[in-house]
Amino acid sequence: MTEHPNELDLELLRTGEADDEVRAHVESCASCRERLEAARSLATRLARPLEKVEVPRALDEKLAKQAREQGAVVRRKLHERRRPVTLKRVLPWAAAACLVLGLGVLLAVRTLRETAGVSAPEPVPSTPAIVAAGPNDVNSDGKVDVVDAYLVALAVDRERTSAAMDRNGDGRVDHADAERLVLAAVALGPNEEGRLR
Amino acid sequence: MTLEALDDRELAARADQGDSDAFEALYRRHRDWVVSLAWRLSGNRDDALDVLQETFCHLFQRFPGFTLTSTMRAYLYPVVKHLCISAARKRRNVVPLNGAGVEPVAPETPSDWAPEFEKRIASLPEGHQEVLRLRFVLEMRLEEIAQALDLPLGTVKSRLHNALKSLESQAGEAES
Repeated sequence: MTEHPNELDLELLRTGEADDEVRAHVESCASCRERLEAARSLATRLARPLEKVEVPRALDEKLAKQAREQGAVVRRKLHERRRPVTLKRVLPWAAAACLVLGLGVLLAVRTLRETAGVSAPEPVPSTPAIVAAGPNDVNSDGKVDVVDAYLVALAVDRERTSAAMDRNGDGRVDHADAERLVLAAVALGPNEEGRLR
Repeated sequence: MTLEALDDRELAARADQGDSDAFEALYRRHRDWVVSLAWRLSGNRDDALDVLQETFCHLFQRFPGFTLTSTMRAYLYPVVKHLCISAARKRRNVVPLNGAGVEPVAPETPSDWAPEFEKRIASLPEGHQEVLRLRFVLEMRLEEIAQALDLPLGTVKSRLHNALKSLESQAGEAES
């Protein structure tokens, strides 16, 4: 560096942030060494350092305790994130999604039919997904569908099951019964199978 | 290796994995700096203690998922500053019960500067004053200042250079 360093260069040299070129120049230049001393003196006289403020002991202990507790909070959050996705966790959401989707489709079809002036067809009798009321019809609405499966899954999660919900006859009510209802709700009956063929 | 030997980034990384000791070490390492800065910025001891609590509450809520990219002080400076401004606003809106209609007395904010420099620095633009404060009161490096103020490094350099030049020329005028 042939030119003398500017004020910023000298300030950075004071705190060890300047590059080697500036350092080398100042070491070999008497006037710049004087300027560096002036910069050091200015920095010393310029500012008032922060005053020490005592934190009351009770508050300090409380905050230190909160800091430690935060470790447990973070570990719990991390554990939640790492939990594997199980059928038990997913089934109620899947059932709810199916319900919402089904209602949406139904609404759209009705709207389209009304717009086109077409009346709704007669319901097909003995459809397995709309089988007549029976032991699988948990909500007694005259049909077996994902709502019944959802209700069983919900009852299992909330531990409010009844013996009638034991749909697979294994002597207990759990998500296996909900799965069985899902299968019953989506299974094709003789009429549908015939139509598909 | 003890936690005291770890730098802020390493401590933050440990805290991000749920290490309680790392959280406590972060608090103890920066407690005094935060409360002193809050006192300097707010001029009120009660506000400073409130800001201390809120600052660490804000910091800890960022975990897990927090990565420290500069120093902890550079991260905490804008948090403390904004909390102090917010505390001052709240204080202005408080009317004492025993003095309805009386303007609350504004707290006397301690100066950052030695008396001989106060007038000279007050004549500088606010942005320059803040860079000087971070550099000479809080003793931050240029990169830390850039991070704390969310400014490009070049802007920080330029402001510091201009502020120093201005102080130097004012000192020259005063001498002559």
